Amino acid sequence: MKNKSTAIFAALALSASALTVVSMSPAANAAGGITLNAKAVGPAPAIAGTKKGGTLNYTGKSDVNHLDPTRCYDTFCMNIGRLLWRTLTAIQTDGNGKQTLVGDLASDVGTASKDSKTWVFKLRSGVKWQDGTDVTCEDLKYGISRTWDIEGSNVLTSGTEYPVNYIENKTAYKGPYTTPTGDLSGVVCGKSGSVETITFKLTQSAGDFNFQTTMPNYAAVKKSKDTGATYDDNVFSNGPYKIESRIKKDKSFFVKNTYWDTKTDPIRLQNVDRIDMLLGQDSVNTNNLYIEDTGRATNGMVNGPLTQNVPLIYDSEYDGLKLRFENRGYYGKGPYVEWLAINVQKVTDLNLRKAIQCALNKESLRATAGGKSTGDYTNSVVPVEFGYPAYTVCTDNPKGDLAKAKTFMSKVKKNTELVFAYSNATTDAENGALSIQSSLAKAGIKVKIKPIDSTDYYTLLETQSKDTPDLMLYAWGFDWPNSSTIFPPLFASDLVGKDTVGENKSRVQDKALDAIMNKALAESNATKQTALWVQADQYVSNTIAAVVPLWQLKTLLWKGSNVGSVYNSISNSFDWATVYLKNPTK
Amino acid sequence: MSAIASNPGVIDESKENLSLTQIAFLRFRRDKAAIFALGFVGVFVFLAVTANVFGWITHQDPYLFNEDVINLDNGGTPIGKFGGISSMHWFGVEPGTGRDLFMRFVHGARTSLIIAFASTIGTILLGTFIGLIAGYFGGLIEKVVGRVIDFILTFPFLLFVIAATPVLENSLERFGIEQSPTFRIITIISIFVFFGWTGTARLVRGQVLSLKEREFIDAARVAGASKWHIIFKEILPNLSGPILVISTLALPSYVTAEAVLSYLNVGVIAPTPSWGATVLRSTPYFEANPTYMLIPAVSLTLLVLSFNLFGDGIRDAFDPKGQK
Repeated sequence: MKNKSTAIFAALALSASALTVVSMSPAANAAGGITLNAKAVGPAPAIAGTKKGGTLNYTGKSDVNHLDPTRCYDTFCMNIGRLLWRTLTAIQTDGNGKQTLVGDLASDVGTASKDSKTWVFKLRSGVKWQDGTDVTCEDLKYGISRTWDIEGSNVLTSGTEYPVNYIENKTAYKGPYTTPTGDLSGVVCGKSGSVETITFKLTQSAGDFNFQTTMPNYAAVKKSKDTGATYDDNVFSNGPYKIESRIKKDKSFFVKNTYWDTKTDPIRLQNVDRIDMLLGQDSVNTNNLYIEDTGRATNGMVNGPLTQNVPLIYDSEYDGLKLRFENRGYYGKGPYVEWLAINVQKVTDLNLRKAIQCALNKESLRATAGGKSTGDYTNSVVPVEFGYPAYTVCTDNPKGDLAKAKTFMSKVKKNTELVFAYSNATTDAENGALSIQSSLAKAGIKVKIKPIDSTDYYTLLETQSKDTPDLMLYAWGFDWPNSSTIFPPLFASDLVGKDTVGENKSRVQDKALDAIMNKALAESNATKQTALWVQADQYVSNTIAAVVPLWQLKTLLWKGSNVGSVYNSISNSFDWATVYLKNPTK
Repeated sequence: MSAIASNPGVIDESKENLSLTQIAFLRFRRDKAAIFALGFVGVFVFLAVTANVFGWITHQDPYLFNEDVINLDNGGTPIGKFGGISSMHWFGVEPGTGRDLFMRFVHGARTSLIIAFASTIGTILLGTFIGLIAGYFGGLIEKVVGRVIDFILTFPFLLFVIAATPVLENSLERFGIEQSPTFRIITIISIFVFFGWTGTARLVRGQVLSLKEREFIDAARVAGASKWHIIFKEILPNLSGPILVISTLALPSYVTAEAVLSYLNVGVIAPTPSWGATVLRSTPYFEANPTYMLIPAVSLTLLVLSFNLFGDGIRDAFDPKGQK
């Protein structure tokens, strides 16, 4: 999934990962250290020290992109959105950071057919909307069906398309706005005795489908409350909080949803009375509040510290948090990996791409992003927890290897000037751009750096136009711990269209790679599947040199001293679902 | 043929038949503050002009990243006190990149002065020409120019520059001119001149109106001089005083304007050094590393102050009674 500040130095919004070593089983059990609990019930696991009451706040520059679950696909909206919507299954995080897959709207974790193409989930009873009405299977089916509208780019935009890629659609359904009387054939509501069930008919085997259903696309939406494109601001809640008022990019207030019943919810707690979000705030000022722990900061959640403040919270010699931040900060590995994407459609000479891989000075680039605390060097786009065999991309020296770079350059037929685009939102981004320009220049590669307004930046990376850059920074995190959520979403050739490329920023269209990926997706044997992903990994980095892997991002987080919360590696930040105030009267 | 001094009662040191310029020079020499200011200005100009020589002496480069002088593990903070000041790096180094701040300082001076001088020259040339034409020919030309000037002056300068810069660049991109640091400098100078000529034109027009009625002009007309000869050979030389004053007051305002634009991140483009841009980048580091901001901020203040004092000195030298 996209990091909230993808492709820009994620020192701004990093978080720790509590994930342990992952095993690559696509089967329904034990995906990557996360166990399954088919019988989970509410309330969510108690966290020591929890108190009830008070107002939690958030202060930041950017607002949540989309609160509409169908359109939500970054960690920020997923973390906050969970207060408002519940998905079919979800990952529960307890007070020690242990993660378990449980049913959220479902009461179990689903049962698969032998070929993993049919899945049946039982639904919980007693889950209610903010007006007291029951959440029904129809509501869930309606919520899922809205993804088909995004696929056709009609009313809704953004979000992922997992449901469209996996669920059967025999009636050419095009979403609830274009085909309002249509029916999504792959999702069937039924009853098993007195319990509601939902059955999914898939177009391909998916041993980890019950992990896919943790995605926000699988949230319920009540049809009568769906306001289409403006649902973003009017989300109708079935979670512990509901929207009291919301002015996008300015202020949002959430209050308790009195119809939410803790006994039906194994993920969330309802501790604070009120949540107050203030957006459009200057980052330097906000950071200063958090350094001093005054004003809004004391009861506040916030993004990570700005690079220049990193030395205040992080001790590089000890490689950990400074003493005064120990109880209100977090530092550890995150699930995201950052790399420099090379646009293979424009930079067609493999020798030039390999030269770039050799010439890039990762150490200097990392320093502009904050240094050691930004991340650990890697030669792959896959997190180290997956346990894939290590390999070298040109050199293991983070300063790069100029001699090798020059050797490749001597074989390059046409040395054109390359364009590196970056978002001009921060000075770090500019320094990073200058660092790339200067290190590549030493090998004779000419790079022009182009600042882009932050609001247009992602669109530029995603669309095909004459301004499409040759080089760009990008970061990615798995949606759940399997390379099936890394390689296909990033490198499948069918993503590259005439107008957009989705997440395939390198514009890779390689039949051999597609073949490896498809084989892996269909392979149900864990060991064989892993071996195929390992092949794909080395293919992307070395055979076609579509990326220059940089580092696995670390998380550095801070919060107010009065806020109690746990990390959540999936949302990559302090968890909002179980947050509380240590002293609610403050 | 130069005109006779216009203030016959104020000839210094009993020397007669001195030109106005020569008299002004003598007066200026006695103004201590102005000489001091000129000295400062001289220092800055010297630094800017010889920037490359400094690079040769210190072996530093304003664009080169120096990884060994910053703490690569920890936010790229400079190693050492006062932001990394050392014998190699006289003003310290820039956090995150390790670029030498002294080199960025002298090259920044060069950027500011190039933009300021070019804009001033452009302003003076355009403004004087239009002012001369409007003043001498009068009539419809004068009226039209007057209205155009009024119209341009209604735009709030800074706001317009901030808005116009990207728009201008985008339109020119359509003609195939790519955005680049050099091009941005040209854009800035163009916009400054577009606004600046108006003040000069008005002043010059006023001067021309009064000069136009003088006897020496009638004499020249009677002698059969063409209009252009009168404008450029008779009137223009008498404007040297006011023009010099305008120039020395315009320069600091352009230096300030460029610094403000760079501070707002709509001025010069990376990696062009600029004092305003340095002030912008140094703001978040102020508590940890005050020298980073103090050096360009204080220098900007001194530069603008010196130019202003110098300009005042020039103006007083040409016209101590302050009549014009």
